[in-house]
Amino acid sequence: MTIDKKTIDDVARLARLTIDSNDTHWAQNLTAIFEWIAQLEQVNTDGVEPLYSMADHTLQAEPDERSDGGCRDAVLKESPQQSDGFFIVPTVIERSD
Amino acid sequence: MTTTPCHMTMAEAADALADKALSAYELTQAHIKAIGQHKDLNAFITTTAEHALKQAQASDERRKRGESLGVLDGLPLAIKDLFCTSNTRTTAASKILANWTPPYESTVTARLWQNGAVMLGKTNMDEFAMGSASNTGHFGSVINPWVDTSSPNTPLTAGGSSGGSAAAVAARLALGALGSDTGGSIRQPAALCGIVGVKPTYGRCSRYGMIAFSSSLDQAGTFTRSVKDAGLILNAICGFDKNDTTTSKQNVPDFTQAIGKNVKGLRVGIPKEYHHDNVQPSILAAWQQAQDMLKDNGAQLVPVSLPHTIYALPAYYIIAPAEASSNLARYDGIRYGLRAKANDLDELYHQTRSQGFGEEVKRRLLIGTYVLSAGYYDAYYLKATKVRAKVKEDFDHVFNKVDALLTPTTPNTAFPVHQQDSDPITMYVNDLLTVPASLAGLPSLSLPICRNERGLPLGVHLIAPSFDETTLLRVAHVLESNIEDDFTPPARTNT
Repeated sequence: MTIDKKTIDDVARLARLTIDSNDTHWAQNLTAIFEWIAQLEQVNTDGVEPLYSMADHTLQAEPDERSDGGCRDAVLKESPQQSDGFFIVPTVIERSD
Repeated sequence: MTTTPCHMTMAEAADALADKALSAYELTQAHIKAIGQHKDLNAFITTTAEHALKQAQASDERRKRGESLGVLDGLPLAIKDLFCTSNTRTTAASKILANWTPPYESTVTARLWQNGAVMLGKTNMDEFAMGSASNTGHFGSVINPWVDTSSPNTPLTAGGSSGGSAAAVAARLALGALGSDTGGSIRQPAALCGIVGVKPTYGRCSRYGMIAFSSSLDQAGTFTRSVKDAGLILNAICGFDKNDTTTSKQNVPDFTQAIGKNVKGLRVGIPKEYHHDNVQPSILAAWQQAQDMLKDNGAQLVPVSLPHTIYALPAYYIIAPAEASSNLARYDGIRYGLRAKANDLDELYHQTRSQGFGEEVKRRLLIGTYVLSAGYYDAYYLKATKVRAKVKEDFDHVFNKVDALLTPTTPNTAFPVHQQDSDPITMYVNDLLTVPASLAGLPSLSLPICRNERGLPLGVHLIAPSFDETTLLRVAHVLESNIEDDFTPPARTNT
């Protein structure tokens, strides 16, 4: 199991990270980790149901009540850029005019 | 009074407050002074002295009016910087949150303040709780107050990820502390710092306001210098919370009732797989010593097998990074935290995350993204969740035969602070013995048993069936009552 430079680039893009894949330690580290993880292949898991969570009960429904949380300003206060009750982001849609 | 305030247990300090031998203000002031004298440990990211003194004053006034809120009222505690505290910045030791002040309070901290506890500050940790040496964070490494007598000038790690909380409690900078444990982040630092660390059952404590790393594993817990003190904090923080639907509605007993009960006839399992090659001989000897103590106190030792133990760690290193890659997607520079300069939205995401996250977090995000990506999901993530089921099945089988399990906590004692940095797998192996119980959601506890020839504390680890923290504390207290070594770090002896 070898993680190469291209895989690092692909995965980094999916994770929205800029990684210098020419720095070989990333590929070396990940290759070593996945070689170590490969020991899981020794476990026979045929017919085993996956276990995703240890929560001991089924999730409960909440009453169907509307709420805006009452905390808009407190939440916006921590935004790096905001205006008139909105988060500001770089232009996503170009103007047509 | 022979004990200085900072050296008291929480129970002793609570008695002193009740007897009016001490005020909460004096107690808090003494701890603030101790924190100031031990900045070299780098145990705190943020200290909240002014706020603490106000809380202490309010506590003293309540007590004067005969309106004490109970045993925690006026006791100064430290909080891992993973728990959201409104009006106090909460960083998760990440550059991406370095200046973030949450608009709300975590449930577990809110419950401490409702019980009158005093917040001394927010403790240092590994970035987003990813690490085992509290040295992956933006605010530098935590230093263990213990010293290796064979190399006294080499700073040692306090363990991780909750190393700041562990160091603070061990160095007498706080009476107790909150931490979080995903794969061993309370128990391993507790072992390395010579104190008691408890990870309750998954679902015992609310995760609301605890910054998420791996949601199916993360659990809040305690650091204290006595088993009884752990019970005192657990009494306050455990229980159902409507803001976290994975919390359990199971009855929360008074955990301190376990203290003082004997272990006659109790069946304690000794799993053979924990005799692992990676475990240092002095730790195996400490494990044997703990077995002898329990046997001498009437417990029945039962050899057991948990055959999938060695597969727990590699399974964990798929599951936890997978969940982290999803949880940490929220750090995008838009709504809170760091925002990098960029010309378009995609560049904004890339730059913010690349500048804001440290190397270990990036490594885990790459692992997690990879194992969840198309073509690899079945081979890695699905496989790991099935191995997780096998690990849990092992525990289910043995808990038909025994009431608790006794194992070592860690493969090694405290090591030089950057010794393991270059090799991620060596660092991951720190959690070899704590991760199996995490995957199965079981309550577990580490407590110091003795010190090795270099003066360093050695911990043992108890695991109980789900929601049976009472048995953990009961067995731990019997061990604690038989301990001969002193667990006051040498640096603190003359202060």
